[in-house]
Amino acid sequence: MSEASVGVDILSEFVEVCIHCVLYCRGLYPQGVFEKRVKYNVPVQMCLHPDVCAYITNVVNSIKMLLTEGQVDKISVVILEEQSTTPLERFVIELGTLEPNWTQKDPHLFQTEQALRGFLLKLNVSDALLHPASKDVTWTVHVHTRDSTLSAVDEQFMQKDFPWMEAEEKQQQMKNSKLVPLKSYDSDWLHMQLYAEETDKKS
Amino acid sequence: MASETDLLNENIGEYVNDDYKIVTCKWLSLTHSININEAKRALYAFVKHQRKMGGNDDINVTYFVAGLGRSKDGDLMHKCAVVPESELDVVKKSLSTLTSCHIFSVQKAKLKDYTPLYMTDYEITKNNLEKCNSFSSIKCPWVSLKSANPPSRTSQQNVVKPENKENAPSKKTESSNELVGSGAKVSGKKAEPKGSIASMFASASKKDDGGNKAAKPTQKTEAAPKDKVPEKKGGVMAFFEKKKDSPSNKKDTDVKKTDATTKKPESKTVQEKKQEPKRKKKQTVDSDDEAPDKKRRKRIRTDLFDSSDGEDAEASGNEDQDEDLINWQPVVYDCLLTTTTWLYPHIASAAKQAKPSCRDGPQVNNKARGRRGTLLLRLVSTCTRIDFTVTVVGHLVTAGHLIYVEEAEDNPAAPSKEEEERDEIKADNEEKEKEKEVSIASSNNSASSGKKRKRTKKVVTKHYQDEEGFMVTKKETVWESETDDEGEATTSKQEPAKTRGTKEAVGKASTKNTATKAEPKGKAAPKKNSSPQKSKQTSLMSFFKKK
Repeated sequence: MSEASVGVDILSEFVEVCIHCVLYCRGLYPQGVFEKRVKYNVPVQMCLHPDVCAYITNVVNSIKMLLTEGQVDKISVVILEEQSTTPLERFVIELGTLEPNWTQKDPHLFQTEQALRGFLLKLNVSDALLHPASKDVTWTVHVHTRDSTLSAVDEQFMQKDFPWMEAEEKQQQMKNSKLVPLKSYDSDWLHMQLYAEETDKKS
Repeated sequence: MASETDLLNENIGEYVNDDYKIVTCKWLSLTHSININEAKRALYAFVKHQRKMGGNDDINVTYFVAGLGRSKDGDLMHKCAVVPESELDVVKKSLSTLTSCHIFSVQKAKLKDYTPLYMTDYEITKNNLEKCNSFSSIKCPWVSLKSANPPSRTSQQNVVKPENKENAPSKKTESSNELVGSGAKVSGKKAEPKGSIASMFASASKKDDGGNKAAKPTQKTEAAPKDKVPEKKGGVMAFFEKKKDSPSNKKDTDVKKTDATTKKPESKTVQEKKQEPKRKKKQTVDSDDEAPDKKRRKRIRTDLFDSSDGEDAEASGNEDQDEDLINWQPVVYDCLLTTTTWLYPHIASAAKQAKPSCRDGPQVNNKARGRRGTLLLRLVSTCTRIDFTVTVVGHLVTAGHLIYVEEAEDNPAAPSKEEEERDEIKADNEEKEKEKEVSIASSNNSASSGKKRKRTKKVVTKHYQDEEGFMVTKKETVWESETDDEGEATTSKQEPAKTRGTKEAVGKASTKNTATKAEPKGKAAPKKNSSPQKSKQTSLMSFFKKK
């Protein structure tokens, strides 16, 4: 396995865990459908519902393809209001460029694991920093990437029967949004920060 | 001293309020290099101070509670739990004797489960492996760390041992010493809840057996890990006896390794397995934060750490649907007024009685019957505009457009009857006062004495069954005739065919509702979408047919 693909795998696993974590913490699905699993030596909550899991898996696979091909700027889990699909809050993972030869610096991935654990911990306690979670919401995932990257993998998306399309303006813009930084990590090979955006008033 | 405590207080305040950190007693102890008990006291002082200050008390506190309680089978057992403040009293009451209660953590965030607590402790312990037990109150003076072996060599030895079935005493002694050393670490790391496992190693390190007696009964009463624990103990003791074989050795080393790195999940999951049925909680989940549906809440509480699956969601979904089904009934009932149920027996008898009279022809000989027949008519006339349906749902009958109102052009087959009925209607208009309960009838109908062929668009609520047999309430816009076509009332029963025909002619959604609702609940609604769009009233007889 090439170094680059390992990095991509690690990141996409992390994104998957993050998405599940957001679903759990913001109460998008009832707590009963979540199961505790271990990741990075800590318990994490994963959703058991097959449709949700399949959707998240597809999303993560697409992200993996995008990461392999080119540059992914941001991955955001957007929580939308159910009726009007206006975004209420957004959890954004902002990625820097992936360095190619990181294994030399962190051969056993201890630091990486520690960093990712830190992200998860902060995500779990983020409800102290944010408004309380709203009810009657739905969610989606937006990925900010380059045109060239997308065109390179578009075919593969179609083949996998999971096409991505450009997000609507309405879903992208948040009115009166506040940015709450959660965690950032800067190392030789990984530059990542996690922040949340939320609208001022939630119904 | 006072200044130190003040400083500590300030620091805790910073961590909690400004950094939004989770401050567990262990985290505080290791960060500030203070004894664990001092850390607990500091947290307590902080919480007291914070609450005394008043203002918005938005800090959340979790407590560690330990004591003697009864297991499911009635055995005495030592229970430990980390609980949020809201559940503290409940858990305390469940224990017969309280052996320990102190603040476990303070944080701003309202925790959904213990995951963040675990993460916090994990990080700080991992970063302070060598000194994590130095601040503990559980100490053994005879224990000392073995001279530093490179970790790789150690792990290799451990790996080699299971493969190598020969029990080389020297190797075993080494490993046993490591175990001893790590045992001390482990017992230092682990607080009271893990005392049982830690004490195993502590006992192996020739600790006073008396110290283990408290732990031993708990081990005996514990279920699944019990098998593991005594075996471990036996395995460790065997080192000194140089008798035990490799599997237990392997287990011990595995335990040691896992304990060193994942102390909490293992013990927690292990404890969870045995504790869950015995209600030994290690959770800080406040499942009460869930949706207000009480039934749902109950299920989640018991199954949360049992990897509860979607069954609960489904079940609660069904319960929701049941609630929905139940919920609409009173509303409809109100609309209908009690007369519908009152009417039902009357209508039934009236219909039966009206039959012969209609068959006989236009004349209505039996006044009483006629009266009842007209009762039907009256009901119809007053109900022409009302759009609700007759439903037999066990005990509740909702009356929809009770009577088919045949418009002359629609049903030329029996014009005479219609006229007859119309006459009767006119005659009985005065008697409509009696039908005050049926005030649901729109006022224009009660006043009307003839046919008014007006079609108006109206938004009505329809109740019908969808394909899965669930009652659905929908608001629909329908064209409705304001005609007082009550003539159908008397005919409806004895002319089922005609009624059906008219039914099909009538386009109201209520028609289909009548038909469907007359069917017992649970059947699919076949006639749901059949009717063409004409404003006709459904016949009352329609729902009798369905019986």
